[in-house]
Amino acid sequence: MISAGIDIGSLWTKVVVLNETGVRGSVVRRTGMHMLETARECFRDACAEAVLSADDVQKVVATGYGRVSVPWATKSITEITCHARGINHLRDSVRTLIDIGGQDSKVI
Amino acid sequence: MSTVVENRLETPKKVKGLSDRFYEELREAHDHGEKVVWCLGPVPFIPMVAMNVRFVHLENYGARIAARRVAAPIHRIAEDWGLSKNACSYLRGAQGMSLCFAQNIPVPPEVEPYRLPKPDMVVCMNYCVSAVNLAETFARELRIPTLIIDGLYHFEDDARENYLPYARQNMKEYIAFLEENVGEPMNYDRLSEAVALLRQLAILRDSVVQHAKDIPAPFTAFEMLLSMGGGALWAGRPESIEYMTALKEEVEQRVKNKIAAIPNEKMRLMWDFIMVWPKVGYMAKLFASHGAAVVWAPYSQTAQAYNIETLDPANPVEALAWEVTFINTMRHIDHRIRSYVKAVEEFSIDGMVGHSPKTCRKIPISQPVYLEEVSKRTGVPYVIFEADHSDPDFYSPAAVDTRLVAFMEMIESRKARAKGGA
Repeated sequence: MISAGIDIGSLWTKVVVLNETGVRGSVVRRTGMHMLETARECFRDACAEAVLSADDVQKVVATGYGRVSVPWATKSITEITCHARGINHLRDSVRTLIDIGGQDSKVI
Repeated sequence: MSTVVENRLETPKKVKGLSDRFYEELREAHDHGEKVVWCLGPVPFIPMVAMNVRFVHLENYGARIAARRVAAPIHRIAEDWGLSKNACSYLRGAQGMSLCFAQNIPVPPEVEPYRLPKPDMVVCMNYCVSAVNLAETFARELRIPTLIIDGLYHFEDDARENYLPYARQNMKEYIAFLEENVGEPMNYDRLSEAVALLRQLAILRDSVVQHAKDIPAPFTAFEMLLSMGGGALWAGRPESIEYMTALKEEVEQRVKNKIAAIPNEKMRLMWDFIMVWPKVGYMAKLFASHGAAVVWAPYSQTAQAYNIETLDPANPVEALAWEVTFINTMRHIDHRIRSYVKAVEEFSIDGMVGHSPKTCRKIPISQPVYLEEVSKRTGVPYVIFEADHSDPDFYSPAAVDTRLVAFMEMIESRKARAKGGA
């Protein structure tokens, strides 16, 4: 299954496109004033890097401050939950995560 | 926010009109030769109702101007005078209004429709030191009589009877204060009638609140909090009975027809402490959009005691004395922990949401301690977030929303795991 994650932060927008084997494409770009446009461009470019079209992506999860601004997202989840799930997947012994973001910092 | 699906009750929609009428009658008080009392804390309203005295509960006023989004300009007047922005935002609203009278400061245009009449006297129950300080400030700057009633904090589990003699004396002094400053004796027949209505209100309210235990819940705690404007605000008057009877009938009809407040109720939450009044509508939608029914908010109940068994209309002064022996916001932490543990079970609570107001630290100072203890005893998680009850400047949407939504995501995940899902 091809899926994508879109993290629209207050300063940076990050997109990854991945499948079962790992990351196929990724983009990091300044969010700027127009977060929806930035999200669209980043998603398009990440798909292009993965040599895929947007229609090939079956699941899109949006997170970050701008997560509600992604109309094509299958789901929007807070970055707190995404961080927790992500680090649990990569290294399940980790119990504390510090997110130093553009707008605020969190300890999870 | 995802699509909001909510079935709101019709009866709470009457609260706006009732609240507006209450405040209109208050503003016209002096035109009708009625005295005006500014109240702070859980002061019993009934003696004032019995003497045709118009009153404002300044904390209710603070909630009203916050919900109507006109609090900031009146806060500025108090802040310009020197009150810290970290001071209670309810009290900043009250002091701002007082200064308009004391220093002939024009009421800001946005606040004009919500202007209070100048008080003839102040009555304060000492549930909060800042409130007492403010009552004394009003006395000095407005040159009006002020009564501070000792609210009897319970430091341990103690029989209410032990506090009764002191409470009785306090209520007699309160009545004497009103008589002296109104210039008329207390009408004890009216006082008895008001106690009878208060008792009826308490019975009706309890019968409504019991249905918050139903699964799914037929109404949310937001609606009960709003209903304080239809019930508690009119305590001792027929309007409170009309409102609460209508609410009871509507809720019972819902239960009969199996209508849920949140049709896709996925989790049930408890809200601890005051509401974020500038954002009450937004908060209701935020939780509803994630299938979370906020079913219980102790603050909507426990700020007003209404102990049915001791509300005897035949002995109204004694009934008032019993009321003030047992104000739930003035009881020790162990009592709160026990009552919350009981509520978690009775209301089938999946999570506790603690609002820690930036400008009210004294009363919820033990919030992290008691929520942690309740969580340990029940296994139910909690989150504490910082905002404010009346000052919109202390609400950070990104920070608050993210924390609350993440909390709901966590509960959903826990419930799925408990059922054997991912």
